[in-house]
Amino acid sequence: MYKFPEGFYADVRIEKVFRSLVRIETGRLEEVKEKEDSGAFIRLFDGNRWFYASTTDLGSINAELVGLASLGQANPAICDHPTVKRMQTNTGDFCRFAANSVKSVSSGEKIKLTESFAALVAEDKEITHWSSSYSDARIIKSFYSSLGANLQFDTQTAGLRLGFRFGSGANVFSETWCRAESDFMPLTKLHHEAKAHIEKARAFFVGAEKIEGGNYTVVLSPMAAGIFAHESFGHKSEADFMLGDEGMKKEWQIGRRVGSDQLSIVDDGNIAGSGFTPFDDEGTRAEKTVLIDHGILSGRLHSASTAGELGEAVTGNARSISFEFEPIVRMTATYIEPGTCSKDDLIAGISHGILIDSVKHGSGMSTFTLAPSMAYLIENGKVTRPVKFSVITGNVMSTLDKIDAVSRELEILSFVGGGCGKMEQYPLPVSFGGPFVRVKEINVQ
Amino acid sequence: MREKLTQTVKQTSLSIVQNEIQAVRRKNISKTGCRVIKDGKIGVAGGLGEVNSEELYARAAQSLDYGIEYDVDISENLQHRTQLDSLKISDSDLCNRISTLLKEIKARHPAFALSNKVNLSHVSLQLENERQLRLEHLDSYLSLSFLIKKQGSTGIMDTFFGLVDRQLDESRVVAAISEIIEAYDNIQPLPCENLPVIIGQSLLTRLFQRDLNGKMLGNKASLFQNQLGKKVFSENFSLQIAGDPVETFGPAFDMEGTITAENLSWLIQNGVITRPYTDKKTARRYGFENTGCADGNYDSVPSLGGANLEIKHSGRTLSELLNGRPGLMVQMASGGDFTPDGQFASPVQVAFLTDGRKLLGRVPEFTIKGSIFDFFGNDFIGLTSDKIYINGNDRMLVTRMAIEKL
Repeated sequence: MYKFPEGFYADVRIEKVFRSLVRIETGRLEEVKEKEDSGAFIRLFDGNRWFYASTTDLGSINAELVGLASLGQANPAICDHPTVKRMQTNTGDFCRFAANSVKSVSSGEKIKLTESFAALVAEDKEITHWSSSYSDARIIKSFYSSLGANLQFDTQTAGLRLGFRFGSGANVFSETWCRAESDFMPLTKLHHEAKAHIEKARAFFVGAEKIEGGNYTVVLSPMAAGIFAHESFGHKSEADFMLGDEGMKKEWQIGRRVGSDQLSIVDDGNIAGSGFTPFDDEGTRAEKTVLIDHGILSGRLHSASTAGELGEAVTGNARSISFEFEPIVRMTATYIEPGTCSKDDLIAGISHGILIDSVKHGSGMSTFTLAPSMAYLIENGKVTRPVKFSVITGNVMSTLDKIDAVSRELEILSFVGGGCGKMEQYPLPVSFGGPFVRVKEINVQ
Repeated sequence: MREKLTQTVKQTSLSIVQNEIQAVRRKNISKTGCRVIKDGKIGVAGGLGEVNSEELYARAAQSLDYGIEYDVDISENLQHRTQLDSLKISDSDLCNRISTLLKEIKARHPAFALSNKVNLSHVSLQLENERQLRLEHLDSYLSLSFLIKKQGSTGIMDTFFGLVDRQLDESRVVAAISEIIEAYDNIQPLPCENLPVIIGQSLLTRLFQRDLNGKMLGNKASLFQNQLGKKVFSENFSLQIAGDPVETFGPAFDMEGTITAENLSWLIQNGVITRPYTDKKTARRYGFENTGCADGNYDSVPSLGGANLEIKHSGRTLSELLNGRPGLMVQMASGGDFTPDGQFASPVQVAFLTDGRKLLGRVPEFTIKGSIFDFFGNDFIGLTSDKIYINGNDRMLVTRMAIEKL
């Protein structure tokens, strides 16, 4: 086993990764890939600075530990450091996907599945460009630390992505249907859902009209609400942005009101899907973390370092995109908690507004934006016709206060072929979602 | 026919928190991809670290059974080497010099904190085959990425300085960050008149990434479908595939071993759309010229990805383009997008007033809007000939757009 140097905290994370990919574009098989890789990320902490190494040579890990120790200064009191005190020492084998591993599904079956979804668009005369792709990953992680952690766990996703464009010239519309599951088999039953999405997009392409910009009451679909929660508030909940910043700590004190009574936001790595993170990349068990509880700031996301500095508990959110990178504070599955009214009741109260159904992308700093793909006008309490515009935007904090109703339907969505980006680390698989969420006075452009 | 691609990245990365180095990361990762091309089909296999090439070729040959078409002219009889790896800084020197730089900024601007990353990268890429193709790219560079945050601010970041360079010029970096911080702290009203917008070109050229893609035009799915060969934009507007490794920090060749010929690199010349960007397969399939834009991972079938696009510069500096008037230099504009018909809108989170020589102050957040046919058409002013150090040492686009207060 590994020889952890005296006077330091150190850990070793080994990742064994299986991935496969099938891609068909406008009728042609463009790529089939199956690969297995492994690598290790090694960390060492002397109480003052972290030292990291990544390697594909699993036989060199002890030498890497010695090399990293030579860069730091041994600290006999390292175990008393607030960061080290928060390191969990979980042990055991928590792998759960061995029996239904995507590795055991043949390439032929994956190609056949991808072809069956390609067939939904291949002969469509209105669709000018399309692609159908399948991708999966099973990642087995082993984690060992100088404190005694000895842990093995796995994650798995399998997903489909169908991208298609209607029209030509200035009259074009692109849309994507994407789903991810924890297993291959559920994907074989999604053709009806994909076909319905294509037809909805066709109706949007044919009927969507531009609308005037201005302030509207907006209803966010579960997808739009999830992106809003992730981009606008989730990133602000990542505690590494607060390190050493007394002003920020004061501003973001737990217990402060940050949104309307209707709003509760949660992050939970235990939820199955693309954000599933049973243990994070420093061996901490996943927690359900309530970030906002009925408008009150209730928690934030931590690594051991940020929890140590802020005097709070770890949450299982130290994640990295691969063995080449150090874990940093990231989200897992982030969603807005459902309310009690129905979607129809929520829309019935709007005389002139907009329903945002699908979203191309979103961002959130002081100002957030959501770029809708499909959106609809709401007139006199009814969804009436498709409309198009560039983005909705607004101040994040004042918008959180303008949420006046959330529906009881909850949908948490998983994806393949992208993920969350934070500085150099992109893409990290996450999931997000929520109920239908009504927001007053959002600026539409 | 066998072809091999080898990538290596040796990197030292410093994590910065509150003007101090919090962590040091070292990595040295090599990746090898082997391709077998036979009877118009391709098979690829790859591995990390020490690999047995014969095993990879055997796996690549097996994957020919998938029947992936690759009926193209293989690059041959071409040798090219770019060597830009003269930057030598030891890890300890890097830590010391960056620590000193961060302390200097802290001393000058105690109310502001810098965080994020400094990476020192030594990269290499080799592509070779049995037909005397041997292409090599060697580069070493520093990437500085500093999130700048004012004490007491509730946001994740307030402003930013980013730079990729083959030298570490501490005094110039400190001066640039100081200029940004001082301008950030000097709030000016948003002028009533519609000033020229000075903006990073990639934000507004990204629609070309989608709609000048050879597959989009080949499948008749592009916004510019009926405009090939037509004058659509300003006489002064020309758009090229950037291929100079000194400027792009990338190889001169693409993942199929094509080095783009100068005459084929122009996608738009004097306002006329001349060609889409392509790889070999797309060019052959749709009857276009190959512009050398094959992309992909080390172990992927090479395919058409994006293109590294650059507007032809005007030959005039920023201050000459502004011609004695101020302009609005957009520093952070996150979340904007195009509609399918080419209308663009984006919030601008951070922008500075400038006379083209120095920053005059920060203006409140606003929105920019415009049509691609206008801001590269009648409203187009030009791309600066000078590189703007405070904006990553890039040339910047100057144009007119509608500006609205948020």
